[in-house]
Amino acid sequence: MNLSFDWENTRIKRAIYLFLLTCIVYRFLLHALPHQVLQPVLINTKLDITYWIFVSSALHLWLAGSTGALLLQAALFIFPIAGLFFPQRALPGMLTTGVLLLYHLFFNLYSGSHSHLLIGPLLISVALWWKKEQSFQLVWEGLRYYTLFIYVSAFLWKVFFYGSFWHWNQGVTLIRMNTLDLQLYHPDAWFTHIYQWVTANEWIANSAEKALTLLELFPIVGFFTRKYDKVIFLSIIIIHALTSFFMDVFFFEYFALWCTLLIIPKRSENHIFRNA
Amino acid sequence: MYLKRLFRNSKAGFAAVVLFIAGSLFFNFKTAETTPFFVWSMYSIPVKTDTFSTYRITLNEQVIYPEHAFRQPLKCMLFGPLQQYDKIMSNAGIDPDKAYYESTIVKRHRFFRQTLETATNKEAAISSFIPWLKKYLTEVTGENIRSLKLEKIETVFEQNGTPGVIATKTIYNEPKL
Repeated sequence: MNLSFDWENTRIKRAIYLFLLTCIVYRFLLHALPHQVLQPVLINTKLDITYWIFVSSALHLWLAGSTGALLLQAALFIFPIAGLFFPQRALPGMLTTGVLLLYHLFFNLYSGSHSHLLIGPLLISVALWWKKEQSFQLVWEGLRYYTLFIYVSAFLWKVFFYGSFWHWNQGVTLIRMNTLDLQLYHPDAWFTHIYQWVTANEWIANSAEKALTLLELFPIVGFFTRKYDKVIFLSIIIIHALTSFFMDVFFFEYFALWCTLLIIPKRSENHIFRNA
Repeated sequence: MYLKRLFRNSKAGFAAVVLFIAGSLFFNFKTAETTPFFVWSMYSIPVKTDTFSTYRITLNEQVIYPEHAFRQPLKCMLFGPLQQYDKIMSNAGIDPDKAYYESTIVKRHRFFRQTLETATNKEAAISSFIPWLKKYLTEVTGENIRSLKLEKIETVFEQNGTPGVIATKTIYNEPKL
């Protein structure tokens, strides 16, 4: 099965804009866009300096207000739509990144949890800034490396820094912690039976968690060769499919970033890509 | 090598990428996420607990729960602020983050000392939380609010893997009129 695509830059950019619009529509349907959250009041900056700068500018208050929220929400649709029509222009791409960054800061500040959900769209939008073919290809390649870094770094955190890998019961505990609501409100559902069976047979849940952690190391191969990109892509899909089901966290908004492993920008005569 | 090709193509691009790599490594080693230098440490802290807690929103005598992971952004917006409100109310109505920041980030630079009041929740924001939540719930469910109950539930898992409620704390209760 051939999973990789050799696409022209314009086509890739249009696909990214379309994907970003899908993410915005997805959030619109979930009442999570700035104007839909109806001027939230509690904030959480945590220790992230960028959020401190954000609140010190009082921009968050304006964005939470009716006019600011409406403008930001409209901009989240308008700039990607403009990009669809003018994919080779840098301005719609830069403005899309700008509004996504504002929305990312706004959403995390007011939702109380600095979730990583919007980082996928935010990062992939950087590829939209570049007009020159060579620059675009280099940024695309850089995003591919960053995608690899995300998983390898997650592995390192689990094994060497915080060390959850060495805590045997982590699998059972995480499943129980994250699916508690589902189990409480749907005691007879098929998925609840699966959660309970898996956690009652602790070795299955714990071994699977260790196996998934080890799988996060696999993308390291991609730093040395592109030969296994499709397998890395599939391993990432497996990681997220399993965590979606067993940990109840959903990273669909990272899909475009994962596609840096599958889509190769079409090279012109003086191409700069070389197989590593 | 990627960086070499990048350098040949654009010195500014090379500098930006090197800066990004350096920033990412620095903030990872400092374990301090600073946007856009993200730390990918989700689920890497060992979780050693036998009790598990969650929040329950009961609107018009029906439990509101955005089911399944694909409704993640809505879940974040409903339960994140509720958790924060509970933390504040459990601390006598004062944002506990304020004391935390005073003992950590505020010591580092006067900017944080000057911004502390803006970066934490004050009385006006805290007392506006319930009215905001009611508005948001109406927007999400399309229902007018006749009653609202917010609770924190503590559970333990039995031997057979089923959760059992051991304690329930009422955070807010507005019974049916």
